[in-house]
Parts: sequence; C-alpha cells; structure tokens
Amino acid sequence: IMRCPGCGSSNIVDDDLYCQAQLVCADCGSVTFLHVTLQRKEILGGCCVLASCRQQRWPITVGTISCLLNGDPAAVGEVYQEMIKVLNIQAPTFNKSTLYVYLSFYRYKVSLGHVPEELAEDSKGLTKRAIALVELAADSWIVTGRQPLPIMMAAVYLAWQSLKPNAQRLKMSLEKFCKLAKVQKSKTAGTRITEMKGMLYKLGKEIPWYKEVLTPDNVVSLVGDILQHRFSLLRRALKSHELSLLEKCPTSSSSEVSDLKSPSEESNPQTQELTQNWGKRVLFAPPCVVNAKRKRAERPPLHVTGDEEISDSEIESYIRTPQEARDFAMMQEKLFTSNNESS
Amino acid sequence: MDSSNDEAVDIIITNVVATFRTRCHLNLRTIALEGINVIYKPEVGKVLMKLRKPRITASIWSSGKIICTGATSEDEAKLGARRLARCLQKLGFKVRFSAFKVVNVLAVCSMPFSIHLVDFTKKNRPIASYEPELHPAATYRIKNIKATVQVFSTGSLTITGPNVQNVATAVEQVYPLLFECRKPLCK
Repeated sequence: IMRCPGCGSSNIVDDDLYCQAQLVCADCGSVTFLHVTLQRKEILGGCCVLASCRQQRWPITVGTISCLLNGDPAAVGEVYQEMIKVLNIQAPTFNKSTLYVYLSFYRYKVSLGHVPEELAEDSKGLTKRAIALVELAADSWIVTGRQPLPIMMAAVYLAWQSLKPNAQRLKMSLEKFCKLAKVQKSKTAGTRITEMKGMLYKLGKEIPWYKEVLTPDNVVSLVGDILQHRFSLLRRALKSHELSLLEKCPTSSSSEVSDLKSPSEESNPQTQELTQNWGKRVLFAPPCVVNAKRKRAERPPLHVTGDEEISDSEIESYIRTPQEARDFAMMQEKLFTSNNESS
Repeated sequence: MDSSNDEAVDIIITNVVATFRTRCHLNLRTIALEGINVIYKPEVGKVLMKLRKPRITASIWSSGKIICTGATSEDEAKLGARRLARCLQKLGFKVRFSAFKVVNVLAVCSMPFSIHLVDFTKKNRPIASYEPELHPAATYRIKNIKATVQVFSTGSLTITGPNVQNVATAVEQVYPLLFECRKPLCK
C-alpha cells in the first residue's frame, strides 16, 4: 500500500488534470515521488556532475548535461533542485567569474589560425569586451531572468563587430558569424542583440562629440567609446530621460513608482499611462514590462458564501432530457459504426 | 491585509482546487450520457464536467472522489462543489456531499518595486533558489505553511498554498525580504 510521506494517508490518486500526470495524496494534497525510473537515476548522476562543476566554477550548463543524457532539461532541473535541497549543498550558478572561464574556453573560434586575419580577434580582448557588454546589459534589465547562453552569444557577436567596426564585420549577420566561429546559432540571441543595441543607442545618444545621426543600427561602431565612458553616459542619459518626462507631464515625478494618485493626476491620460506601466517611466526596464502584454480579462469574483440554496431549475440545465439522452446515444452509435465501416 | 506593510498589495486569487466525496459509486457512462458539458475519458477512468456558474471544471472518478478546479475563492469552490453534487443526485446517484476540502490555492500579486533575484537568492539560501537556465523566477518555499512563492524580477509574484490564509501569510512573510532586495529602477 502506498502511503503519503506528508500525512501517512493511503489515499493516493492518479491526477492528470494538468498536463503532467502525477500521484497526489487526496487528504493533504501533496505530490508523491514514489516511483524512480532508470532515467531519473541516470539524470541524478548527471546532476552530481553538474553540482560538482558549479562548485569548481566550471561553467557547465544544464543544457549540456541534458544533451549528454539525452534527457529533457526540465526533468534534469527538477532532479537537480531536489538533490540540492536534500543534500543541503550550495552550487553557484552563472556569474562573472564563470562567464570569464566559459568565454575563455575558446568556444568562439575567431582567433588567428581559425579564421582569416581581417576577421580574427584575440580571445582575451574579445572576452574582456563581451563581459563588459554583459555587465552593461545586466544593469539595463536585459539579463535578469533570461537564459545566459543567448546573452553571451549576443555579447560576443557585438564585441567582435565593435573591436573592428569596418563594413565587412558590420555587415556580417549573426548566422554567418556563428558559422565562422563554429558555434550553433541561438535564435534568442538575435532578440538579445536587438535589446542590447537599443540599450547602447540610449547611451550612445549622449556622446557629445558624435555629430552624425545615431540609430540602434549604427551604434556598434561607438561601443568602444560607450564602454569607456559608460558611467558618465549613464548619468547623462538618466538626466535627459527625466527632462523628457517632465516635458510630457509636469505633475508626475519619476523617482517613486508607488505615487499616490491624486484626482487631478488621474484625469490626465498621459499620467495614467505612466503610473500603470512603470516601464515607460524609467530609462531602462525589463523588456516584458515595456512591451506589456494585454492583461487577461479578469473575471469579477462571485460574492458567494458557499452555502447558498441551489435551485432545481439551475441543476436541470446541466442534465439532458430522456429524449436528448436517447438521441445522443443513437448518434454515438452511428458515429461508431460509420467509423468502423470507413476504416 | 495586515497593516504591517506601508502599502497594501492586491493578492488576486486565480485558482482554487478542492476535493470532496459522494460516498457512493458513480457510473461514469451514465454521467457522460445524461450530463451536458461532460467529457468522458475512459482511458484514465474519469469524467470531466464543467459548470458555468461558478466557472469550474470537475474530475469525477467512479469511486465517488471528485476534484474541482477553476474557482476564484474558497466559497466559490464550495458552491461549485455542492452544485456538482446536486447534479449527480439528479442523475440518480445516492450522493452524500462529504469531506469537502480546499487543497490548493494559486494567487498572483505585484510588488510596487522590482527585485534583484541573485541578491534575494544569496540572502535567503537555501529557502530560496534561482536557476535562470530553467525558469526566470526565483522560488521561495515556506515549509511550515506549505506555500511556494515564485518571484520575478519585475516584482510579480505567484503564490501557491493549501488555502487562502496561508497564501496571504506567505506574502506577508516574503514582503520584507523582497523589499530588502529591491532594485533601483533607473539603473
């Protein structure tokens, strides 16, 4: 007899109401890990490797382990987190030092010897610039909550372009660059590149000596300058942003998100938009906040006690009349036999 | 909400899961034949029945065990469960509504500030964990009230717990920890 480890009850039911079938204790609701398949045991082995590598600051990803085990990354993640909890160990994830080691493993084969001289870049310089770009991206909300690999790919690509921003490099697409560097292109990296360019544009705009028209597309040639002067450029960008906000609505303040709304502010449609979407009020915000999806239509809650009277007529609306039931049964039979005949 | 916070945060309940028993055997084929809004799943031995008001979906097993989902409050869940039981009574089964229990509540909530997830995880290990390769949110599990809070960097939270009270307690407990790790918006 199976017993729930949470409350000891033997009342375990199979619940596949959601897309993943699982065993649930009907009495306390806890989900029970009662069967251990060979696959999970193999995954556990992989997780031990993953945890050990992380503790040694070797940047092995969950994706790599899943690939080697021919398993699903979500399953690996599940076992890994349980293992960490049960063993009470700590294994740091991606951070600056692991990034450096990762990029230093010459994964992107663009040093001399691998590619023609005009496309070659010394790996130390490339790594240094890529890390600087990742740090800048982290400060502008591009990194938090996102998968690390596409961000690194975008950073390496932009770093490589910006270290020698001639027509040849600037024209090279991400796809071609990945072929050159002998890495597999990540589709998400394309989105990260766009986001990073957007961020670089906001900073590059503040460079006082750049007299031409700057766009997110031609900002790559200025990356060196932007990185060198990033702190003062950031200060200038913040100031410019505040000024532009004040021009739009003189009554709002951009420093507090949780302003109390006064009636006069509410009536101004622009102020309303700003308070509802804080992403529009600040210089940098997570992309998902800036491009907020439409909120799902919330159902107004029913004000019920749970003990109301239930009318007969209401219940009857859920039940077929005897005639309807007969018709339904006949139709099902007809469908069944016609399916059999046609097959 | 407790006035220990300076500002009230709205906790919106998006799903309540409850179970109950009918204390009698149920013939699933009869329910599928005579009930409207019913889907028969013989391969897993159950029937799905949907109600309009409150909007809930129930999984019904022949043993008389029923799980209801989709309600947005504990009272709604109870009303829905009772309506379901009445339906089954009307279909001719000797139903006795019993062992009603709310087993899971899912809610969402939004903090008026954004959160530095790496910071939050570092300060609250091992209760908090964060694996960006797997999921964009940090997970905070409060063992004694059996609640789990998913924290997104934007300040959005999703909370699951065994009942509404525990969910509210979870938010109260986690709020000061999140506040400590709030991220300046402009940087």
